[in-house]
Order: sequence, then C-alpha cells, then structure tokens
Amino acid sequence: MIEIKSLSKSFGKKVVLEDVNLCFEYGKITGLYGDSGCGKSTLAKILCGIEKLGKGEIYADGELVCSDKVKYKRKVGKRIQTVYQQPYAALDPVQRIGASLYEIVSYNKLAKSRAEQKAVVENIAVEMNLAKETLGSFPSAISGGEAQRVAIAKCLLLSPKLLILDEATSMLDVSTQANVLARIKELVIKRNMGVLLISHDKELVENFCDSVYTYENCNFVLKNTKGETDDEAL
Amino acid sequence: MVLSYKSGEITAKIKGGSRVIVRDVDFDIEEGERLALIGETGAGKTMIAQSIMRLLPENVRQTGGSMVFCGVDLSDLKTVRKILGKEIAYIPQSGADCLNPTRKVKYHLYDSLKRMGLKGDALKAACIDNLVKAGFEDAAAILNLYPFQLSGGMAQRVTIALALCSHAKLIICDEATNGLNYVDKTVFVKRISELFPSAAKLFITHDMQVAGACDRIGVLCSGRLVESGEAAIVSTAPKHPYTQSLLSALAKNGMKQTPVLRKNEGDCPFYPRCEIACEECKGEIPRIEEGGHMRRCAL
Ligand SMILES: Nc1ncnc2c1ncn2[C@@H]1O[C@H](COP(=O)(O)OP(=O)(O)OP(=O)(O)O)[C@@H](O)[C@H]1O
Ligand code: SF4
Ligand SMILES: [Mg+2]
Repeated sequence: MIEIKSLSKSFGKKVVLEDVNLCFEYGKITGLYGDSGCGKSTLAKILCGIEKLGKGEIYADGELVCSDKVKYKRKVGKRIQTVYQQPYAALDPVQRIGASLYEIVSYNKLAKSRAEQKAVVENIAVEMNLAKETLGSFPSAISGGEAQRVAIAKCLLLSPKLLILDEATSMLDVSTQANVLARIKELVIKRNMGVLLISHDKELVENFCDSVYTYENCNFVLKNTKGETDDEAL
Repeated sequence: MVLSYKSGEITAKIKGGSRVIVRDVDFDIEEGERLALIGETGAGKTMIAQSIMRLLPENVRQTGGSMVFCGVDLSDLKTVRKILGKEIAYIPQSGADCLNPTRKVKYHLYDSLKRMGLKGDALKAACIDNLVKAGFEDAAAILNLYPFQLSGGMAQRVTIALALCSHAKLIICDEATNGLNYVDKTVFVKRISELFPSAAKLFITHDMQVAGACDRIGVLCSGRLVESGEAAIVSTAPKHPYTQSLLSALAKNGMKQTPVLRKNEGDCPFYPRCEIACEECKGEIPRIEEGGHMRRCAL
C-alpha cells in the first residue's frame, strides 16, 4: 500500500495541495480527475520524487519514502513509477527501442545472464503488444501510440507497486487506449500492483477506475467507488 | 479548390526491406472547409501531413502522388519552401516542440512577420494583435517569456499566433488538441475556424469529438482511407466496421476492444480485426459511393 499523509504543496504564495490524505491499495485502480493545471500532475511528481513536497509524508508498505524532513529515498521510491503524456520525452532519439529496454534490464540488474535478459525484454514486449519491428526502430520511426506503449513497458520492467498514468493515454486513439488499459487491468491483478490514473477525461476515469477522486479546493475528494471491478466494461 | 491531395504510395525503408505506410488516400479541401483525418495510432496521419509539406523523414519515399495547392503543383521542393509558413501554416501537436527554447516568444513572431514584409511599429503592433487574437488577454506579458515558461495550452496559443502571422490559405493541425480537456478541444476547433474563416483546414486527430466538430471526416485504417463523408454522419452513424469499432471503443460506449482475429489476407486493412469478415473480404474491395459518402467494404 502506498500512503500519502497530510501532504501540502504551494508554489510561492499559490497553494496547490492542502492536507491531502490518500491511500493506494494494490490490486486497485484509483482515478484522479480535474481540469488541466489543477495540481494532479504535481501530486504525481511528488510521488515519484521529481518535485519536493511542502508538508506531509509518503509511505510505501509502511516504509517512509519522503517527508518534509527526510529527502526522497530513491530505493523505496522505485516502487512508484510514472508514465507521462509525452512519450517521446522518455526515449533517447539515437537509441533503438529494444536497446533502451535492455539498458534498463542491465542497469537495474533485473536478469543474471544474457539469455535471461533477452527473455525479460521479450516478455515485456509481448505484454505491451510491441512488434519485433518496433523494437528494432529508432524513436523517430514509431508513432505516438507505439512510443506510449514503450514508455509503459519501461516502467513495468521495474516492477512498480504503484503505476501512475499521468494523462498517459490521452495521446492514444480510443481503440489503442482500450487495448492498453485492458492490458493494464490484467496486470493490476497479475502483479498485484496499484494504478493511479490521472486524467481530465471524466468518462474514462469513471469507466476504468475502482474509485474516483476529484480536485476541489486544493484537495482530492472521493466521488464514487465501484463495488466490484466492472469486468464487462472492458 | 485549395488542396487536392493524392497520396500515391508512401513507403518507408526499414531494416531488411521496405514497408508501405500509406496507399491511395485521396481528398480535396475547399475554401473555408474543415476536413478531419481520423485513425488509430500508426494509421499514417502524420505521414500524410508531412507529405503535404514535403517534410517526410529521410527514409520515407512518396511515389505516384500528386498535391495541388491553389493550382500550384507542390511536387517542386523550392515552391513548397516558398509557400510554407506563408500560405500553408502548420500547428503541431506540442506547441513547445516547434519553438526554439532559447528565443523569447516575441522573436518567433517577429521572424514570421518579417517574412511577410512587416517592419518597425507595424510589426510590433501586429505581434500584439496576433497574440490577443490567439487568446492571450495580456499579450504584452507574454512577449518576453521563453518557451519553457509557457504551459502546454499557452504554447499552443503561441503557435496559433504564429499561424496568424501568415496569410494562410491552408492550415494543418496535427493532433493539436491532445492533452486539452473536452471543452478546450471543441473551443480549439471553433477558434481556428473563426480566426481563419476562409482557409482550408485539415485537422489530424484520433479524437472523434474533434473530428465531429469539423465539416467532413476521412477515416484512415493502416494507411488506407476506408470511409469518408459528412462529419455529422461519420461521427455518429458510421457505415464502415472500422469506424464503428472506433466509436464502440469510446469510454462512454464501454471501451470495447478489437483484437486481432486472423491473419491479413486480401485487400481490406481491417480484415484481421473485423468481426463480420467473410470470404468476399479476401478479394478486391469495392469503393461504394452514395451521395457524398464513401466507404470501402465488401459488405
Ligand atoms: N521514419 C520512419 N521509418 C519507418 N517507419 C516509420 C517512420 N515514421 C513512421 N513510421 C511508421 O509509419 C506508420 C505511420 O506513422 P504515423 O506517424 O503517420 O502515424 P499516426 O497516424 O500519425 O499515429 P499517431 O496517432 O500515433 O501519431 C507507423 O507504423 C510508424 O511506425
Ligand atoms: S471488407 Fe470485410 S473485413 Fe473489411 S471491413 Fe468490410 S466486412 Fe470487414
Ligand atoms: Mg501522428
């Protein structure tokens, strides 16, 4: 479980988040809904250590990730991974897609042997529906939707316990979006991870998530909770 | 007629061979008309936009196509370079990407206005004027900002202001509404329509809401045009199975998936995923035209 306790954040005099308390359970999909620029992305950035928090604490499985007194602990924070809206930004233009996946595997020592490395990369490619052709391409030669699936694959390689999708499907057409999200829904169960879907698409959040929070007065308010995961929706 | 476009064949050289990305996509856009090209990711939308401006990537070739812009043949690269930015304006997906990060907003606008022959006070006035038209209330405050100081929405308005510097007869917007919320998306189409009333407008999008706000829609599936017609019809009651699948994949319609069911055979680009495919779909697929509506489907 990833927990946020009494988190506040302001930029200069502007208060963006005030006393936010949220908890992301594994195996569940949480949605955050609100207008562009309201503070959804700020929360995502704080969760993965790109932005400092003003006040409060974040815990992963009971371990402190960061607080107003303790700097962000990368090792614990690794359990939280974010996919952003601009997928190309996460890709090195002069590196083939396959190579960038290998790099993550070897850098993070996710496999012992060459053969094992290959298996890890191949598995993730199958999981995210990436063709062999795509793995052999440079970022400039793949379309936006393909790039977004690569970005998600890169995050999943690190076996996150909380995957944050910050407008990560707004680049995608509806059918690719339906495919990618269906895949993610499967993984939520299979890998027992939590997902935080941040979007300004109300219909999407309401249809896809187990519980939905909206941004009101610098805080996130629970709007509704689905009793059971609605499998028919996908 | 502002633009008469025939794609011919657009092919990419890839490792160990080549691959057809777009084939036989033909369309015309009249003065003042808004055409939306809609399709899934990888359908070839961006390639089509780039081919009009002759900005295709190095390893990509176009053969047998023809592009005529206001009576001028665009196959000559020199001609295109002269027209681009003056008579053809391009509004890209991410506004910030096409702005030089080391130059303030005003210099981007000054450059474009100078190209149009403006100088001195007239140039400065036009600069402010365009920013205001593009939706900035306090235009003077924007002038001295660097691109990275702009939010996504602001950067987009700057690219609109840049387009306003030209006398554009054709505006190409490639996924320019991504990341905007629903209200902003339709406002964008409206704003472009009002600012450039007589220009031909090509909206490249994967968003049915944006496409629905246009006059006509062309639907692309794996580089082929499978349906085209009046926006009101194509966006609500499409006749081609592929377009229908795009509608049922919308969140409000239950996000239905269209998995691959079988191997690609024959001519129809949707054949691998089509639920109602039959024997006839393996042969040549006819083009069915009825009162301004076109579909390519065996059924
Ligand atoms: N330089 C290139 N070399 C080889 N293939 C390419 C190149 N650029 C694009 N492609 C391929 O061409 C196809 C069409 O790409 P295009 O960028 O036009 O798609 P799109 O419809 O704009 O998709 P999106 O909605 O994701 O932006 C994709 O399958 C892509 O992988
Ligand atoms: S031609 Fe056949 S396979 Fe293609 S869309 Fe029509 S019914 Fe489906
Ligand atoms: Mg594109």
